[in-house]
Amino acid sequence: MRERIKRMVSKEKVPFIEVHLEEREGVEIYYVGKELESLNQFIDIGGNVRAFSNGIWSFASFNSFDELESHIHFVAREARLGSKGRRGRLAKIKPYVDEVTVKLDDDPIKVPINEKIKIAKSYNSRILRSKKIQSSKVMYEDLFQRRFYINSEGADIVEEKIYCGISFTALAKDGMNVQMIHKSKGDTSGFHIVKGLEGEVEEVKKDAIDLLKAEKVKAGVYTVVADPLLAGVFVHEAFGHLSEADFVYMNKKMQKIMQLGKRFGESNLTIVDDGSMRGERGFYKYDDEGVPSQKNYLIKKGILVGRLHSRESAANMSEEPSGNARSINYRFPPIVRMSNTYIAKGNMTFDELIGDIDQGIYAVRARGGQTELEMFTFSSAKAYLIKDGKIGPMIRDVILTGNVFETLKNIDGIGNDVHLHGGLGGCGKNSQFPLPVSDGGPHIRIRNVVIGGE
Amino acid sequence: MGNKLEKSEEKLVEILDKAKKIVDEAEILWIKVKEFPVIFKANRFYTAEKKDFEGLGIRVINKGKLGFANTTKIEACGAILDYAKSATKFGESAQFVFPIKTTLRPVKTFFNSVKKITTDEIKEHCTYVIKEILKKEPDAKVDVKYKMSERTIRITNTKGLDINYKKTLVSIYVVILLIIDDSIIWISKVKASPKKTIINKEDLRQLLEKAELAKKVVPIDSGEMSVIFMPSVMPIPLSSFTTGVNGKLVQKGASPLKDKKNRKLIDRSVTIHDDALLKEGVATRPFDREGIASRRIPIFKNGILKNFLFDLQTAGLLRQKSTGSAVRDYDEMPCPGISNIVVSPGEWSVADMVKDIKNGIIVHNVIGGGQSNILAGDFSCNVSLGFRIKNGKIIGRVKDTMIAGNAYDVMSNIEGIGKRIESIGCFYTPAFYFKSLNVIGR
Repeated sequence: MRERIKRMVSKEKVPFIEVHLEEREGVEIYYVGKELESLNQFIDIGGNVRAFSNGIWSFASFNSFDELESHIHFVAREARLGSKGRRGRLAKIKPYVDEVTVKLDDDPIKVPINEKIKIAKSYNSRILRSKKIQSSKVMYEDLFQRRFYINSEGADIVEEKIYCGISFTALAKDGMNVQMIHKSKGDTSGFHIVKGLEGEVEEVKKDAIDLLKAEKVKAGVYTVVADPLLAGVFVHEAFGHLSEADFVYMNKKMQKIMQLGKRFGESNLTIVDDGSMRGERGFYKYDDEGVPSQKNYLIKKGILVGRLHSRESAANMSEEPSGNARSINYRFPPIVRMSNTYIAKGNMTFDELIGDIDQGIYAVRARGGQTELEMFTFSSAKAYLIKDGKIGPMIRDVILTGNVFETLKNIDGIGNDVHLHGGLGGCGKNSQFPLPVSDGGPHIRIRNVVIGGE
Repeated sequence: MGNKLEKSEEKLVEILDKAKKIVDEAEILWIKVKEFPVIFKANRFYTAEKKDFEGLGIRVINKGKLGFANTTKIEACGAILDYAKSATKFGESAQFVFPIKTTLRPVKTFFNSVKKITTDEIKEHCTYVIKEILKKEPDAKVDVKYKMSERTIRITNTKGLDINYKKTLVSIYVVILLIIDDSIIWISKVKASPKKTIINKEDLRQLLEKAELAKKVVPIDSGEMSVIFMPSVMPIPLSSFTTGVNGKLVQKGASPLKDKKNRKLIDRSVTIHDDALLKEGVATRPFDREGIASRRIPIFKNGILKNFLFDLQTAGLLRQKSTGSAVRDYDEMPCPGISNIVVSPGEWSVADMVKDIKNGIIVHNVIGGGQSNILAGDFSCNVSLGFRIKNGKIIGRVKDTMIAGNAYDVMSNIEGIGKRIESIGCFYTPAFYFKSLNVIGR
């Protein structure tokens, strides 16, 4: 098949053409309340072809390989037609030939289905074992994925990945007062990630019940200490997306805002994106343009030093490809995405971070996050008041919002405890969701955060 | 319905025959989608795409229990059927039987005008839209995404049901990016319809008017004030209601509306329907994803909660009837969901709402909706595009501002409802004018 594809590709008169083929197999197990609502096993197969000519792309994706040749023909023609009078190129890279297989000691794909169900069921029953809990949700998911990549420059890569994870949600209810807490675990390291989580399940259950009695946060401007998971969502949502060069390279004014060498934070702030971290949810050896993943510094000691690139954005900005062109699956073209994004370790202990806060908020984990360029908003899963340097009562509905540039400068304390989190789900961009990523950091302290509420 | 069969569709008959031999009952949902997106980025043509997908989900009942599996590899159907059967060992007990043939109300979901659109025509239209915007905003960067799609949905089961329909959909997304004094302004317009759709003069006028207004940033103090939610923001409070009436959440006891049927929960002026038969609606369909005939369901009538939305299984568990509200893609088990949510209009023009306000804001876009406790009705969002109103006039854009409240509270405190309905995805809603909402500025 691969030889046949190479022949088809070589026939087309277009500067660049590439083919992705993909096989996916997996299981989804969803408990909702008492019932096993869904046990879904699937086999998914598909591919895409993409052609590039003078800054213009054309793309076709499909399930059936029957018409592969005509798809290749289509993209080559469209790219050629659209590119008249245009200019644009791709950054040069070495065409890799490689076969990356996954060998895990505890390969989730080999675990019998009833064992997976048993684990999900035991966590679910544990959540429901309280009168104050109205409902629950436990989701187990695993996925085996094998991607073939061939391009007209000679690249020929096969890469396998195995994802596995679990999430649990506890829903407590008292009349119209409904409170939910959610937590997840997931990465590419094997089946062990979903085992032995009884303690975390208990915590989720207790938090949901405690939230029923928690007071709503009072709106205002606070000093916030974010835990590593929320710090991760912040660095991903608020800064990471701005580092994605695909919307920077076409916009001169944006380039000025994101100019390398510009100060973005205090000298204690370093931000990294690193797709080569084995075992993390955002790990991969090659991105979906055949560029090896690597450690990319985005901010070093407060100064903007790098950004995330595809081959196209790198060429346009005369920078190096960073290995960040990714697609969620064969249905979509690769676009510039993050991998494992984190704030590097600082030197403060947790007590030091909260010690001099008279009135603040300790925000833990994220329920969600969203950005629109410089504006961001994200909500913490749970939160506590900080009063006179000590953690106080639990509060709820803490939604943080602000301007990225101001907020990065307002990070004035960085903890010494880095933790990365993958979980289930992932990142969304241009209708590609969920892309497996990890994000994290240490505990961080941010001054002057706007919190919505009553 | 006498359509020409695709190669893989012949396979469906074969699988169903095989299923009859190894399980008690079976159902196949087959969906085929063709999409043609054309994308302009930063004022110029960037890419043309073609997508061609199909997949099927097999749901079976064996010894009274449910099982499911799905695939896009049509040749792998044998294995998928075995997966579905093996899943019944662990599955929930089926509280329903697969439907037999039903009478469907005719509703138009397929428009030939969409099939006839050519890539060149789209390119021409996008170029025109960008040119018009650049005339007034020469420094703007405009992205346009124009997408046509055509899908076929077919459901067949061992009770003899075998129905299908085709559906077209066009969506256009225009976003204007302006950078003024290092401040990023993003103004967007989304349009979707089963018919051929374009960005017309009025759309352009509104986009450019917003761009002009957005250039001047004005300060705002925190506090309770009058707020206008443009239709684009209404899905935020409305989704608390659509989540609350979801039969699944009612059945699980998670919905706060569980025991509230026939009670007045919001203002008498509010009437909301779930209308899968809406003329030219984006979610219009003759039947749901289990083959149950569509109908128009009152959710709130004059502020009174009238109905929950059920699929077969949740209805069965509660000894109710399916409301024809099953939603899912081919790769999922059904669950209850919305179709077109239609909010009845009022008598106000947005201009009159603005004139009526001494101190307040008009909100066009927010980010961070859906992050709050939706079930409880709470929302707390960042106003990504909103304008300050003073003494009946818009005076400038607000920044770093949040709005927070509760859907049940705000919808009980309505000053006025707009007379013009706009479609925001599958929400068809007018603007709402609330007398008092918490606005947090800095």
